[in-house]
Amino acid sequence: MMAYVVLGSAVALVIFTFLCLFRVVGGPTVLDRIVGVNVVGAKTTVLLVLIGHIFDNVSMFVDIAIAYAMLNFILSIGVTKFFLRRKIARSDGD
Amino acid sequence: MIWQIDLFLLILVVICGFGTVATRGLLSSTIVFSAYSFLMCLLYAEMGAVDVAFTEAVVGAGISTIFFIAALFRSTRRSPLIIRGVDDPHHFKDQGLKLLPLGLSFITGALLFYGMADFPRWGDPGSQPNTHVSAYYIKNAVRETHVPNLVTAVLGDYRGYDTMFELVVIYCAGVSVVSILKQEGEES
Repeated sequence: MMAYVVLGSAVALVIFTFLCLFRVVGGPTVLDRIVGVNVVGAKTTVLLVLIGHIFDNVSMFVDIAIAYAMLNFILSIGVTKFFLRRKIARSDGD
Repeated sequence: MIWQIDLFLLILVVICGFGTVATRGLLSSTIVFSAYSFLMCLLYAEMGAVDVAFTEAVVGAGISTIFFIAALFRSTRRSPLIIRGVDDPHHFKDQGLKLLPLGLSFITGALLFYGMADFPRWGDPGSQPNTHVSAYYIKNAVRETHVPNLVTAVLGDYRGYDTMFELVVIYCAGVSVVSILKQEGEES
């Protein structure tokens, strides 16, 4: 029973990723894409733990999930920093 | 391998691949590509290859995206659409369908699918690598290399001898990374 609940929630999370991907691929502005990728990364972190539960090896997958969340954060910081600097450079240029 | 998750993840990966090519603007492409990398990592983890998933997460999603963004930041030539952050809806109208690259991609894909027919089934204990090479590594790796981690022993020791100049290649990559980063630090 518990296995079905975990598997069902994992599949539901993957299906909900489609909605985020709709923003990531088709989003009109870059900020939409950044937020979309951030949400996809958060979903991925949860999914990794759920997959670990399915494989009966949660302790190994939790490490990856933590490293993953950290990388997601670094990625968002890097992209937004780029975006911010470009904006400042443009206002200086104008 | 959990086929329910597998099916949806593969669809997502294909959508991300097309999205990377189709989006206008280098920053947008980089962001979509990082989403692709996240999903590939999930796919590897879901197939049980945890170490590959970890490498993909660190190298694919983390380092390469940061490097792409750094390269974008250092490049001067840019289209005004990138700064505005708006996609051009008429992107595909002005350039026709490029037949030669499309045909080449399809031929390469067909060849890869043809070669995939010879692969052993996923997780087959009777396949060639699982019966010959893995058994030898599991039995002799610690005694021969004194490395407690089996994956590290295979990557660092056995492959260093099997593949010619593998360690030289890794050394060259390290040297180039150090030189690039050093230059960057001195400029700023």
